[in-house]
Amino acid sequence: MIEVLCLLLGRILLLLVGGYELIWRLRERLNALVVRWSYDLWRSGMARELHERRVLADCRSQLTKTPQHLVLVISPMDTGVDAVLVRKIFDFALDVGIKHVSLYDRRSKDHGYVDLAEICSTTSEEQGSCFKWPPIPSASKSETQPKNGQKTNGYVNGANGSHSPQFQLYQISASDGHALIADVCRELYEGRETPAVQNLLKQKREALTEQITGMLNKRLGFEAPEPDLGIIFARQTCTYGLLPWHARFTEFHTHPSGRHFDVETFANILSKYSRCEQRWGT
Amino acid sequence: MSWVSDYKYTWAEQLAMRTLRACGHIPNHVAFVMDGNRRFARSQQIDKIEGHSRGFEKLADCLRWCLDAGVREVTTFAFSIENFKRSNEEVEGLFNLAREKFARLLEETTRLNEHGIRIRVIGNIELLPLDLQKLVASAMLSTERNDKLFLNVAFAYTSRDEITQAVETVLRHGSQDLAAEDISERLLEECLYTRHSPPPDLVFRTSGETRLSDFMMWQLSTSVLYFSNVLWPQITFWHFLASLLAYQRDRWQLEDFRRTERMHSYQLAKTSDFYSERVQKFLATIDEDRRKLLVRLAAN
Repeated sequence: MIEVLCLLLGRILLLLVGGYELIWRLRERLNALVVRWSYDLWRSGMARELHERRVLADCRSQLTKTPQHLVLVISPMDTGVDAVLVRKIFDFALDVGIKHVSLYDRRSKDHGYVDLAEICSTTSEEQGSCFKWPPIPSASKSETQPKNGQKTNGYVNGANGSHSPQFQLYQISASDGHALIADVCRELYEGRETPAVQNLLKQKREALTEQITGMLNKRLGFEAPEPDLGIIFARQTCTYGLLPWHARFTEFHTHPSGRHFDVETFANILSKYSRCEQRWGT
Repeated sequence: MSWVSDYKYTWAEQLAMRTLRACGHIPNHVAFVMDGNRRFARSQQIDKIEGHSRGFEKLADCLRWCLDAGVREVTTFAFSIENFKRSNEEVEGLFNLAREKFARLLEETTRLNEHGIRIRVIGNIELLPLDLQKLVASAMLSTERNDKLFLNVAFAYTSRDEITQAVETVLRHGSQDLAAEDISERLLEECLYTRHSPPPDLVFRTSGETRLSDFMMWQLSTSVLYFSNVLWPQITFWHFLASLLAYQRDRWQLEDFRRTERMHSYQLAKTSDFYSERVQKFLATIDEDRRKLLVRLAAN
């Protein structure tokens, strides 16, 4: 008897959860429609920009710390993030002085994948997965590129404490996760008889860890600090395989798919990040 | 305090537990980041070590809930390598607590065997004091035949250290058996401390922090992450239940992604000759070496 009752309660619970999900989704859709509609309808482009600048300036003045490296994680099922929103977030990030932004989009090209090469409208000179935001106009490219040919990490502009007028942008793919670590292991294994690898094996494990870090960064093509803030665009919180080596101390914030993302949302996330305390094990 | 508590359910909790089980979709593997012991101690104005001790009591409750709910595997983050940076007094206090708990575990092996609970300590145990290494190794060996509930205690653990250890294992032991083409993420996965465990379905972190603090970064790429504001020693059955409900709500949305990842892993195993005799021989050697290490540590 009690088993039947529990089964019945379970089914009712599942129905309630399903119903709640449905209502939640409808509410989010409606909210997004209304907010976006009213936002666009009642504010001119100029007024919207002024409003955003004001919110970001307020936010900046209240932050006790700003993330160095922001990563945007887009789940394979997300339908709300497009190139327009990504550009908008890049502009917000630029305004508050974030120096590195990465995009990790797990969707396929047919399902809304955002390609930074298209957004940054690169020429063949800019290759790989590193870009700059705002994109460098072709004419001035030769003036802004570092003389030693190395990719800069955006710190130079922020050296005096002010935020950088341009930041470094990276496209991260699924193959930059586990597969890249396996790739590094393979390379080390091929050179296992060399004195360098033999020497690593004789030392404490930290030496090998350092070596792997260096080799991974070289392959990723960036020398950015580890991501300290991640915004996950999904209904549920999951890393979706984001950089297992680098995302170890990333503070994750989940923005439910379908919910409107605006300057206030971004400022709230930064405020939350600013309030959290990293203890680094101590 | 035993490793599995004799938690007395209220009638409402009993009903909720039965209902949850009737709904199905209980996660196979739950990982806990037990955070907030020190903040709890501060809030209650008690000693830090007492806070950790209360945290352990909650772990025993949690294990009882998991056992009753039908969770097959539990992993807990007990001590990070980064925690060695804490004061000597606190580190020594934590080691004393671990000594006491593992000694107690050895005393109640019969009870653990009755429940079919297998204890595995994942982490760089050679960083621990020798007497603790011996206790840990003995606990692992004395429960190695159990297979009803697996409890993995991450002690002297970080994910980076675990991955480095996997690479090191390939470099040290692969010389005779492996070809370079055999090395893939599938093989590295099998060299992790969690070689015989499925990836966690649910990761539950307490105390309101929304980071993973270098815990199982390799394994949790398809897990549902659940963050709760409650401090670990204050966790109740209802918080546990809420996490299971969140898992039941979110799992179906992740199912396609998980399936794709499983297929990818399967394809990778095929293309990298994972099932070849030489790779399987190499993996068997790792198992053998790890067991030999435990026997040696337990005999010290």
